[in-house]
Amino acid sequence: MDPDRDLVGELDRGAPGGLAEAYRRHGARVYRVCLRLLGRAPDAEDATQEVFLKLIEGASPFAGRARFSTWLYRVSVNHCLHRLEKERLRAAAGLGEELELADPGASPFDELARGEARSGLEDLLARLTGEHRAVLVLREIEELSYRDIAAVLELPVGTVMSRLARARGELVRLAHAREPGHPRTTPAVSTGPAAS
Amino acid sequence: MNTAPFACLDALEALSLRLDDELDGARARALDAHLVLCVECRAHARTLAEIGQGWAALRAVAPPPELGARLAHRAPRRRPTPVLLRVAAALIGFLGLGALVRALVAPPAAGDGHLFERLAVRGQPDEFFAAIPEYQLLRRSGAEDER
Repeated sequence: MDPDRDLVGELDRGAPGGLAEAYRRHGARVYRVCLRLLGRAPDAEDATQEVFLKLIEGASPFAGRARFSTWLYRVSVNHCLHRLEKERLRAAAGLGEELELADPGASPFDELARGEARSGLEDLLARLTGEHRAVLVLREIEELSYRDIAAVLELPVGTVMSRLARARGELVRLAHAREPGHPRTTPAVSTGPAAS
Repeated sequence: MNTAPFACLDALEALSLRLDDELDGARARALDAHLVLCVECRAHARTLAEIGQGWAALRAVAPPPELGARLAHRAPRRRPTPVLLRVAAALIGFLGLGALVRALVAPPAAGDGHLFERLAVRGQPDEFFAAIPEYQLLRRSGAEDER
């Protein structure tokens, strides 16, 4: 049984405490997903609020086909992917800011002072496509099972498994590319092993 | 049991499954056999393991304490229309659409003008509503109730 059944009822009725309770139970995970998908704290804070406001606006009505938490992950991921796509299109049109640098004039020390310095892994994650980032965030950060990831992304389990393998392969390729003098970025897609 | 040798692509998938404790025994043995022979896949596996150590730090984040309060502050302005008001609006829309469809479909009775002529009745507001058949029905049933 869905442990959030009571919460869904409260949100449906528009009970004043419904939104606050939903945030108390799920705010941290929604924020974490938004932060890891979008990469910047201010964007994640904004996206988290937008996701929770959707609960009372009825913009993405909960149909009860999955657990509430699964559905909330789906709303969060879709919201962030949509936002990333909009940013990408804006950047491609030359209208947006540079995505990698919130403040091009800021030094790494400024970023440290704001607590926004990116670890190496965050940096690699930010270079992946939204699709790859989403599947890795759900698996490695949220620690969801393949089945739950499939439910969140509305994909077959087999697709989740192969997408995870490709996303990890891409992470490794990017990590190798950053190491000067690394012989090869990733194994070739061959029919047999290369000689050691 | 499938003990066929792995291609590198199979090995990458198997490495991914192993990270998630989802690799069965036969494939695990095939993967190990492949890794012994393939230097590139060994490098891939090593880097994957190194990367894996970084995830825990990315899990340890919490939203700023004031985010809940900011959400509560934004919420009332975007509260949806009350259910009763939405039902009333839907009912009015439904009745209006019904009247329109009926006026369009019903053949004009003797002395009845075209829809637009009927809607264009000039004079008292009561005369305007009298052109709508549903209104007449409502008035008739109201009069019967009074009697």
